[in-house]
This record gives sequence, structure tokens and C-alpha cells, in this order.
Amino acid sequence: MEALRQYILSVVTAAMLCGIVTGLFPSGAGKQVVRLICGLFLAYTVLAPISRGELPDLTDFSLGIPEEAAQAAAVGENLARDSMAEIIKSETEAYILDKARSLQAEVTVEVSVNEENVPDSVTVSGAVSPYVRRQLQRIIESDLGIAKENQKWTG
Amino acid sequence: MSKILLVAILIFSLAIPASAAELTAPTVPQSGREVMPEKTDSFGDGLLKLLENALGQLRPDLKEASRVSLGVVAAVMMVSLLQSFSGSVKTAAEFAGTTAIAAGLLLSANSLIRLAAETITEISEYGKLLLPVMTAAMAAQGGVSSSAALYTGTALFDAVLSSLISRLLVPMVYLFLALAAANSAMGEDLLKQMRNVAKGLISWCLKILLTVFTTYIAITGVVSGTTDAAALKATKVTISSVVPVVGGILSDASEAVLVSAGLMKNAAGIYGILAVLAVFLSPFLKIGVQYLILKFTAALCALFGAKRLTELIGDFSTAMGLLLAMTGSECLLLLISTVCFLKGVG
Repeated sequence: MEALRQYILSVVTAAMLCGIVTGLFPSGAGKQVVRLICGLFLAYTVLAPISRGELPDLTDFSLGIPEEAAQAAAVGENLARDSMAEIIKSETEAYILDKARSLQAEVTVEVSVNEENVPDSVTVSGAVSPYVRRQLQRIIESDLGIAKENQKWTG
Repeated sequence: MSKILLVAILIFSLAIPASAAELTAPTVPQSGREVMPEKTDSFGDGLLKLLENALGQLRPDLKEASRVSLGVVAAVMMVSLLQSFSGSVKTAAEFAGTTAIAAGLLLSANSLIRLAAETITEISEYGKLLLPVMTAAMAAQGGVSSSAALYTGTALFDAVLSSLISRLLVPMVYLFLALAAANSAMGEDLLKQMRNVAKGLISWCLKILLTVFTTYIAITGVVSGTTDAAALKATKVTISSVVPVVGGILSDASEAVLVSAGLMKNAAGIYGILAVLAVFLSPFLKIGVQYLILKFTAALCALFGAKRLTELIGDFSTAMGLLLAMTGSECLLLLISTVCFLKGVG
């Protein structure tokens, strides 16, 4: 700010100086020459500090921005994937529970999903008859695509 | 029964998205808190309330600007009276008048220039907090490429614009005023030309930067929007090819996540726009009032015939116009970007 104050002060002082010097000369060829010299002096006063200033490189600004953008987008992607996994897990569990209830079986279910958010394994807990178990195994395999070897039965 | 259960779960998942609380717009900065509306769910109502609050704060500034204007008119009248004398008295009167008016107006202009610079910095800082939120929300909605491209463009142009304004354009406004005052005192043609160059450079820089930014936004909007739309379509095709029941569940879940991501993106976007306007509006109106009153003062002073002094007052009003353009450009940049985020995947 101090440098700016100095700069503006120098421009105003130079302008006033030029005005006074020009005013001192009577009209004629001499005055024209003085005006020209004053003009050059003024132009130098205004432009010299600007030409000394360094223009920042564009890379100073863009440094790190694409990485930040990718990070922010990744946050959103992860958020969507996690939310979707939660919904798929709970909807699949609800589907199995509903089928178990229709077979008069009381069970608890925990489903896991893979990276593509497709249900890939299930743990079913509860005392069920062999018939109900076979029925549920078949439903889980055919409707949900979870193979028998990925179905864990406890209790 | 199973269908009802699935629908119930889907509605529940829509009402309380798993991690929606994580993606909310940053709180409005301190300077905008007084005018920020309490309810931000409706953009129209929020905007009206914002305007109402900002206009309510304007009265003291109006009084102060009118007081300065009256002082300037009185000074010009005095100079006009003294100019009826001939010779050195006339020159001295014009010189003294210029100094008095420039000094008087520079005080208020200086505080407004600082206010504009602070507002621009504040909007830019708020933008840095808002951009990641909008990017994440748009990416959650499937616009991964578009959101990253929008973030990159906005952050880059914002950094360039705010840096350009604080390092070059604000000093140029001071230079413009100095040249205008010197021109008024001396009547040198060269000073007048240089003053015009300073003014032209400021407007040119702002116009070019905003034009390039809007072009970038338009192009990336089309290019990355198409990529994202194709990716979304491909995902839907993949989902429908999975086992029927699982396909249905995946499709419902995908729809639920898209809708909830859209909801939180809209909420964050509307809050963000109102917050940016809350920071921007009061200073913009303050500078705008000063601009209009100076224009009116210049018109009034033209009646007394003091040409150079009238021109000087006009120059101060032009400087206010340049400040309006600078703050307006910074605000517009962020608003355009936020609206593009809100528009979503094309």
C-alpha cells in the first residue's frame, strides 16, 4: 500500500510540475518543445513502475486445482456409492426377511455387497427346519444371485 | 407384501439420505450474516428477504453520500463565482477547487475502494469453500466429469480474477483517480488520455476474463455433460442386465441416491447463491448509491459551468462504476458456476 501511495503521489507531483513549467513559458515554438518534454517525463513517471511490476505466471494459479477437483468429485462418488450400498444391503435383507416370514421362519439376515454394489454373500441366523432352509437357499440363489457357497447359515 | 416393504424402505432412504448431512453449503461469512435470510428453502422468498434487508441498511450511506455531494456542489459554486474574476485568481480558484473536491471525494472513494476489495476477497474465499461441496454433490448425482471440469474452470478463473483485481485493477482505480485529479488541475491532454487508458484497461480486463470464462463453461458443459450422460446410461444398462430382483433393487437404490444427491445439491446451491449475494449486495448497493449520487452531482455542477470540475466529479463516479464492475464480475463468476452445478448432468 505504501508503494502505491508513493506511486500515485509521484504521478500527481509530476503532473503538477509539468503544469507549472508549461505555464511559465509563453506561447510559441519553445512552449511546444517544453510540452513535448513534459509529456515524455509524465509518460515515464506513469509507465516505468508498471513495467517493473512482475506479471504472475498462470501456473501459479492452476497449481493443484485439477487434483483438488478430482478429490472433490471423488468425495461425491464415494458418498453415492456408500449410500447406494447401504440401501441395497437393507433392501436385500428386507426381501429375504419377507420371504422367510412367508415360510413362517424367524431369522436375522446380514447381506454383504461387492465393489459394484451387487449382493455377493449373506449370513442367515435363526433356527429353521431343513425344508425352509432349502426353500430360502433356492430363493436367495435364484432371485438374488447369491450362490449357495456364499450363504452362511447359523443357529 | 414384499413390494410394499421395498417401497417403504425406498421412501425412508429418500427422506434421510445416508450421508446427506456431510454435503451442506458453508455458513455465510460474517459480513453477510446481517442480511442473510433465515429461511433459504425457497430461492425467490430468500432473494426478496435479502433485498429487503440490504435496502434497509442503505439509509446511513445515502445520508453520507448526500452530505458529501452537497459539499461538492457548494465548492463548485464557490469556484464558479471566483472564476468570474480574470487572470491568476481564475487559475488559482480552479486549482484550489480541484484540490478541495479531489480531497473531499477521495476520502469516501478510498473507503469504498477498500470495501470493494474486501468484498471481492470474501466472495472468492467463500467460493473456495462452496465449490468442493457443489462438486461432490454433482459427482454424487453422476456428473463426475462435468463437476471436475466446472470446479477446475471456476477455481482457476476465480484465482486469476481476484488476483488481477487486487494486484492490478484496484491500484489502477487509484491511478485513474490520480490522473483525473491531475488532469482537472492542469488540463493536460496527455493526462486525459492516460486516464482513459487506465479506465479502458480495467473494463477490457474484466470483459475479456468473463467472456473467456463463460465460453469455457459453455464448452465444458457440452463436452463433459455428454460424457457423464453416456456413463449414466451405461450404468443403467448394466443394472438392468443383472438378476431381475437384484436389478430392481439396484435400479431403485440408484434412483434414490440420484434423487437425494439432487436434493442436497439444490439445497446447498440455493444457500450458496444466497450467501454469495448476502456478502455482495450491501457493498454493491453502497457503491451504487455513491455512483448515482456522483452522477447526479456532476449533472448539477454542469449547470454552473465549471467544466473541469464537473469532469472530475464525473471521473469519481466512473471510478465507482469500475468498482461496481469488479465486484459484479467476481459475484457473477461464482453465480454462473453455481447455476451450472445446479443444472446438473446434461
